[in-house]
Amino acid sequence: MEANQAVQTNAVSVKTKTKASFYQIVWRWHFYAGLFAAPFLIVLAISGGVYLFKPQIESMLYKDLYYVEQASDASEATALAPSALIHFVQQMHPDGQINSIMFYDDRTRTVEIGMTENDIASSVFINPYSGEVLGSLVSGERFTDIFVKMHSELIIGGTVANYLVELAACWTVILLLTGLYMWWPRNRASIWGTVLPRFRQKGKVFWRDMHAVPAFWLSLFILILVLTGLPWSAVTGKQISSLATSTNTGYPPYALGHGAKPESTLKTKDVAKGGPWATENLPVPVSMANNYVPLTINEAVTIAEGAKVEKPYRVVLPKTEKGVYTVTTRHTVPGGEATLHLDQYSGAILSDVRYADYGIMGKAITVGIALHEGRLFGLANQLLGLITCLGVIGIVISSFVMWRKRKPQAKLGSPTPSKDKHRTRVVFVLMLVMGVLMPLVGISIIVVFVLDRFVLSRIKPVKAWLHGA
Amino acid sequence: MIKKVAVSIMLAFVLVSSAACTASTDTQKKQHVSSQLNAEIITPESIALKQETVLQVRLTDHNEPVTKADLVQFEIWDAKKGQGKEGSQMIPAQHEKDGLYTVTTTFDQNGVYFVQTHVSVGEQHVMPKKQLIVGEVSAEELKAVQEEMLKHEQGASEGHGGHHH
Repeated sequence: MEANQAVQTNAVSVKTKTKASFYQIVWRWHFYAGLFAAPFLIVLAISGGVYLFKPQIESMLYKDLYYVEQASDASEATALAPSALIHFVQQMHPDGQINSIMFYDDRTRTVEIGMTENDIASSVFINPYSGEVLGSLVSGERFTDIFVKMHSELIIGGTVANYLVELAACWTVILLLTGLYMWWPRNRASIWGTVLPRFRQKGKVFWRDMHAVPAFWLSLFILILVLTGLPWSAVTGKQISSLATSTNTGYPPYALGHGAKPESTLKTKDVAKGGPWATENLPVPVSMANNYVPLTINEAVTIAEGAKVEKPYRVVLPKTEKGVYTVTTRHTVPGGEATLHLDQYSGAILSDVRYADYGIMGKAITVGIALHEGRLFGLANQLLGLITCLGVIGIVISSFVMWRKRKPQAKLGSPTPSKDKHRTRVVFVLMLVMGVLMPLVGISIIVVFVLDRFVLSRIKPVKAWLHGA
Repeated sequence: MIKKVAVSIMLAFVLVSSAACTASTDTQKKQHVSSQLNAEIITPESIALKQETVLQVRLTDHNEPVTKADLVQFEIWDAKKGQGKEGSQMIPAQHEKDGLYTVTTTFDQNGVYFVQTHVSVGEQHVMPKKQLIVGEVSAEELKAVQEEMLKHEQGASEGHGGHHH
């Protein structure tokens, strides 16, 4: 009887020890990962939170450019031909090269003409009813462009910053997994401290709940934001697209306006040379008799509308004699996507790819991007994104408070390493598996491991500060 | 227990992704609506005033002659009217043989003209156009035509109904 009891107690203590040991190891990973990711998460949350509201912000800031002054004009008036609008813009910017023209589905919106002048790309806004040029905005210098740059490349820009953002995003996945493991109720399940915070508690328990409870609630949304953001990333994004291509589940050929394009057929070598192609400013020298003449923008627009392309859409003008008219839609909600390439001489539709033609991954990525940008289901989507952004900021703040409370003066305050070598190794291998799925994580683990093993641990003070033991 | 579950989840992940990576790559999806309809406008080397002139268009689809086009029309207008097609003349073409469609017309004035063919074969439409010089045209006249074209583009809003609703 007594022996039996002893065995039982022993079993319980072994079990708790196992859990405690895993907890200790996971906590260390969570701590270091959090320490690295926290500053990036703050930047991503703030910039993302602002960018979510791009449509509202820009409509307000650029009201005078985006909208025609007299809305009543718009309901009655007939719009001028696209070629006329282009001509007006060309008159005001004789050296500008017109690249594209964008029509919105809102009758009070102006028409946006893309132009390059002295190597500077800009959008010129023109009232489609009166032909009055209202002004222009340099590309990349709109208010929200700053936040996009902050969000994707931390303002400093370049590949390194882009990789850092991806690295932080991938480590966030690990933060979520390790965090959920630590959050999981260990002893008896209670709603307090799991799904509801213990408000009456003070100090460490309070801050722990302020961290873990909202993090649990938002974990799914944070994960969704990370996953839907990954298609943009340099390394994982490339993997995703090659996976989609190899399984034929992504985008069909010529699906994206900015990608590869088919070519217009040069029927004979006698195509009228010289440009600019955009302006239909055709030279008619005698030697050019019996030449094929490129279609006008008006004809391209008529063909596009005949093919049931709905506004808002952008028509990109052919840049070279083999170029095509490219029509792409800019719908906020996925489903209406269309990309058409038109032969500039015959108007033949060389390719016509709609949302329905996308593979399952192409559709998923398209919907995911809309969700990420808060476009999928209107204001509710934007607010959900905003709540997640604010939540992330709060979670980082509470973790910071917890850390400061624990941190000794002279040390980093990291959780003490587990003495259980075997379990430490098990978790390490699990992390390496994550590293295979997210290559940047894998590389960073290996780099940190090597650095720690062969450099930092040889410098006593650094080792003591970093490892806390 | 947790360890085992975690390990098996990870393994499943890796297996799925590696399986997906090696999946078939050969079946390229069908090309979505790609028009292979080709219309080649054939015009005489030189066109004389007030004489019957034969204009032709040769239709091929995937390099095969199209003998049963749904619509073949020639639209001809004076280049002085710009690309707005003001006062254009629409002439239906007759199928001759082997995908060659013909119209006969007479030009009454010297100058630069546009000839556009409107072709429909099933769901496909093409509308290539050429510019023609009829009779004697001086360099000054050509320049005038060019300027006139620009002027007409400014006000041109008829005939391109597509973009206003």
